Amino acid sequence: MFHTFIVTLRQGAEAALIAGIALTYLTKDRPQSSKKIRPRRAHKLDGSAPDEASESVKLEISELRVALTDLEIGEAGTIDQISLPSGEQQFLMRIGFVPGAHVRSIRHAPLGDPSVYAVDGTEIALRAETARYIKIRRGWFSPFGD
Amino acid sequence: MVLAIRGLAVTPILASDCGCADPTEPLFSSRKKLPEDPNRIIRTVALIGPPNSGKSTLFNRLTRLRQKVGNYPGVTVEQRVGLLAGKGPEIRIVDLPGVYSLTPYSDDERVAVDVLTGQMEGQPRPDAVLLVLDVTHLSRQLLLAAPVIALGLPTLVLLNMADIFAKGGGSLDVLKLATELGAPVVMVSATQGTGLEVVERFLRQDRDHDQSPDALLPVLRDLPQSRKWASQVGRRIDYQQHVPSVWSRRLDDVFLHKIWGPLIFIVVVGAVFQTVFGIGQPLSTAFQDLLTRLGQHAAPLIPAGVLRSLLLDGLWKGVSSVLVFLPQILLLFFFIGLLEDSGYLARAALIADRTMRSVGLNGKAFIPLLSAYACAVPAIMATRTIENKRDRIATILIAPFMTCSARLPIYTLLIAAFIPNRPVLGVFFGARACAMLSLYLLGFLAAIATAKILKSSVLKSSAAPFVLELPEFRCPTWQSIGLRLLDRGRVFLRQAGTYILAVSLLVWVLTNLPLHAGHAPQIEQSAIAHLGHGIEPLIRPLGFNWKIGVGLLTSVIAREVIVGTLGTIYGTDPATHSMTLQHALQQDLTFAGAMALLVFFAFAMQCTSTLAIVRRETNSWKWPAIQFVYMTVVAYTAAFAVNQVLSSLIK
Repeated sequence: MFHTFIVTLRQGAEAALIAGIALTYLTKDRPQSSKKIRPRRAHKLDGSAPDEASESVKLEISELRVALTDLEIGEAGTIDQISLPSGEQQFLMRIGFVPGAHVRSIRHAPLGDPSVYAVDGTEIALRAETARYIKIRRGWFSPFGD
Repeated sequence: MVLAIRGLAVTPILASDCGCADPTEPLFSSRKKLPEDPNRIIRTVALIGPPNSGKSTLFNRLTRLRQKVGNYPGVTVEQRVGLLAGKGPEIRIVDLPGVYSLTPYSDDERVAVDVLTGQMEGQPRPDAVLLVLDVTHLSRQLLLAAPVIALGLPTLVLLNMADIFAKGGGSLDVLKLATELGAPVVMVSATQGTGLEVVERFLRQDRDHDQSPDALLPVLRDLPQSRKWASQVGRRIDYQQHVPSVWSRRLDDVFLHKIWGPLIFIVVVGAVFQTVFGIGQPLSTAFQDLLTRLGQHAAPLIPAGVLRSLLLDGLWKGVSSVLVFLPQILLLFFFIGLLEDSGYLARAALIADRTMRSVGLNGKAFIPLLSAYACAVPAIMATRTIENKRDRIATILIAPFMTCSARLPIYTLLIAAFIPNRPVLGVFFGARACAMLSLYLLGFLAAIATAKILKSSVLKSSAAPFVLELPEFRCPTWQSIGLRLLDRGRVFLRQAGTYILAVSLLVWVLTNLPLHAGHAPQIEQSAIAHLGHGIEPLIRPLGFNWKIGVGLLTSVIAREVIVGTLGTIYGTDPATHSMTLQHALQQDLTFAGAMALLVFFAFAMQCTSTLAIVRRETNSWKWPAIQFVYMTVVAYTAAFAVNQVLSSLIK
């Protein structure tokens, strides 16, 4: 009697799990269609904005350089510099986080940290404590794409 | 000077202009021409490429199974050398560690540079280089191309994963790339086996002219410049990025989902655990039985006396105590191989990272620590994936605390003898199951505590940040898993086998000396019994007598040996001769002593194989020694405490 109970319980759990996975997959928002990307004003990537007041130019320049952790899911940018001691810097560059590389934020791990970034097309996970020292410029395209 | 490979002609070319800069500070100089050697045949080839470029698959393909694994002197970098399969003169292939570049910042890279420049002792300078790059991520991978080609050795550039690339609609101009790099380029697929005949022709061809075209590579000062150069090359070769299969992202949506991710993780981990135990244990036992039976069959074939005793009790027992690990090791590595090759392992490490970090460890330590529940030996071998040296050593040091399957025989014996079969939580959960579970918990807690202590003092984290590459999901092939099994199995047998055999022989010698009138002594008169009596004062406070002492001494080989030893001792003692081992133990040990013995086994380092593997993986005797002393101290203290406390409670 107890035995049948256990067996039914287990089968029920498995069924629920499979149903849940299927449901999640079918209804999950795709990053590309995510509405999380905030609308941005178009601006030139070299920081200059020909016909605007200097105030808004300054704003745009400071908006341009952000930390990797500031990227929303789906947003992309180019790596500008890595503000870490030389040993860690070299380590990160060897893996692919090179100034000039194209990076896009893909997702966060289930518990929030680490996060996954696509660097020149390769998905690499990084902890926030490291990612916050990688400075990037939003929006850039390279021939090697994403 | 024309090199024809599959109709590909590479002609001399001048420096390509990339505006890259300062020629006064070169990191990699432009290539010099090698002196002409008309009779130069290729004897040794170096295989180099970034991690995850499919280099190992290629290596396995080229060498079939003719490989040898070792360590480079002075560093914990694995050395793999193999022979090219096929007819013709012998060609050695040296598989260099996966590196992203050739800067002198890590052991792997230094080893690679040393081998390529002929400065590695014991390795002749390679005559040619096979550079393996993943064509689907060419921009990153090209960073390695410049410094390698700049070394001046005849290089063949292999663009691996060409099948995935083509399927995704990717394309590039191979001829233009060859021109840019100044080296022949060929598209291959190591998994499918295409393009490899070109590699063989390159290696075996009769070279009566200097192959290296006169390409001058730009002077690249550092990684950012290398990347800029790579971008420009990409444009010039009309590189068309392939469209990655959308399945990888979708699977990640599920596997890394906030709720389903961890759930799937638990299910997968549970399944691996269950299977390794559910199938591994019975397989091990069956294997053990088989080996014992073989020994028994062989017994009458050897004349009775010292020789038979030596061969059977000494050597054969030693060999079987090593072989008995094999089913579980292979099963475990099978699953690890499945998880790793498919790409799921990286995701699992990602999910586990947060939890592991609270203890001071790496997410990548998860699978090794899980494997340690079957056997610490493959677990320690699996810690290679942890790049951070200190995290790796910390993981290696705590792995033996996890309750390995070798502890189960003695646990089962003592629990059956001393814990009544009373139910605690309904029918399914008796006092015995409870006891077993607490022992597992004990090991787990000891591991965590040790990790915390280590990471906050001796092994405080060094600079290398946590970085984990998530490869695209792939379908694992039987071949790659099979080769991995063969490889790991061989490493285990060789490493553990030699040490265990040595110690088994030593124990046999101690058991069979001193000789009484040319015959082996009774166990009570043997040298090892004298040793047991010798340490008895030390272990009395733990509740153990000299017989248990002998068992502890012999189980230094491997934990489960104690069961056999106790069986022999009680079996030959006329007082306990006719009792079962359980009964004999109940007579000889108090409840407190039995519990102390259990705790001792939970914490003590009684596994020569483990020590051997730790020595190999850390390349020194220091860490195995520290491990042995530390664990023995912990075991002694805990057993002492348990015995004293329980004895006074029971009185």
